[in-house]
Amino acid sequence: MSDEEILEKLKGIITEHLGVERDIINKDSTFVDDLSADSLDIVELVMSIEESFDMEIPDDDAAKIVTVGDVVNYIKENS
Amino acid sequence: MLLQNKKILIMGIRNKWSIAYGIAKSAYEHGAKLLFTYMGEENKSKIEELTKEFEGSRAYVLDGASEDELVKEVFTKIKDENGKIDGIVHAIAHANTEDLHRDFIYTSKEGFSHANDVSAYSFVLVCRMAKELDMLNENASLVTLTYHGSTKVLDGYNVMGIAKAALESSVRYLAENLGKIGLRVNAVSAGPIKTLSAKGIKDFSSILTVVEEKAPLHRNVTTTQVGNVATFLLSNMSDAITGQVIYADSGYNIMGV
Repeated sequence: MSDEEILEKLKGIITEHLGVERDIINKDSTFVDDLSADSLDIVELVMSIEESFDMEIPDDDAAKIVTVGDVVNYIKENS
Repeated sequence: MLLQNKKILIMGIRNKWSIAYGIAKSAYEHGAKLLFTYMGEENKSKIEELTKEFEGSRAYVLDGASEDELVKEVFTKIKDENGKIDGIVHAIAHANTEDLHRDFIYTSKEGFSHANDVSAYSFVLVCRMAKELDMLNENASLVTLTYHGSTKVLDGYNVMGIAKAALESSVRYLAENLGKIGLRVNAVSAGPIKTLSAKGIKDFSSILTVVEEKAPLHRNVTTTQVGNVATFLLSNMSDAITGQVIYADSGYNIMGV
């Protein structure tokens, strides 16, 4: 999957979970500050990403994720 | 239709991974009319979206299932708007993350109380309020959710194990108290399931792997399977059963090594 394809799929997941407009999401968006995700939202997002991309994201790795771009890179490197 | 014409209140639904959601699906398929409580007014639209498949259902916010006044308030509203109900499912638990990420021996006084308050006392309160407000029809059934960590040591389950032990013991005392008026109280001990709560447990995925390896059925359980057991306990089919912890865990708990 290309970066763009991953990003598009991610935007869908983020829109669904956080109720934000698709247009405001880009690689530099931070989950907590820009997208107003709380700690439980983030765990739910991780669960959705694991399901959609058929992968496991260990807690230690999940803790390092700050921006949408971090997730794109993580998925590219680990799937 | 095991739950035809029965109104069931499911407390503690959060998302599609919730065991509460699996129970809702099973109960609905078996004819129940569903009511829900959830946490956080800000989650209202999310919960409405999640539960819209259950026709005729209603969801109520409850921020603090261990607060006497809050439970009284929401139960009064539920009874006013829906009349008496036939069953309650309690799917509520919480422990502080720091208490799950270090050795149990370091659990703070506050953390110890918090886990027991939210995860065990809340069920006692739910049962008492339901009785005092005369919310339940004859033969109603109350069900809570527990986990094997109450009796066996699981690394990372920590203070939640103690809270579940308190909950399981409460089930027995509540069953005796409420048995006098014909009500039943049981717990379902579900095998490990990847839920939002489970995500708080360190190395949770390794627990799932061990169950697949060692349980007699060599597979993990789904929220729907747990839901089916809850449906049975809510139905009249189980009317000889009270005060029990029923395992829905692919048989994992019977194994030695």
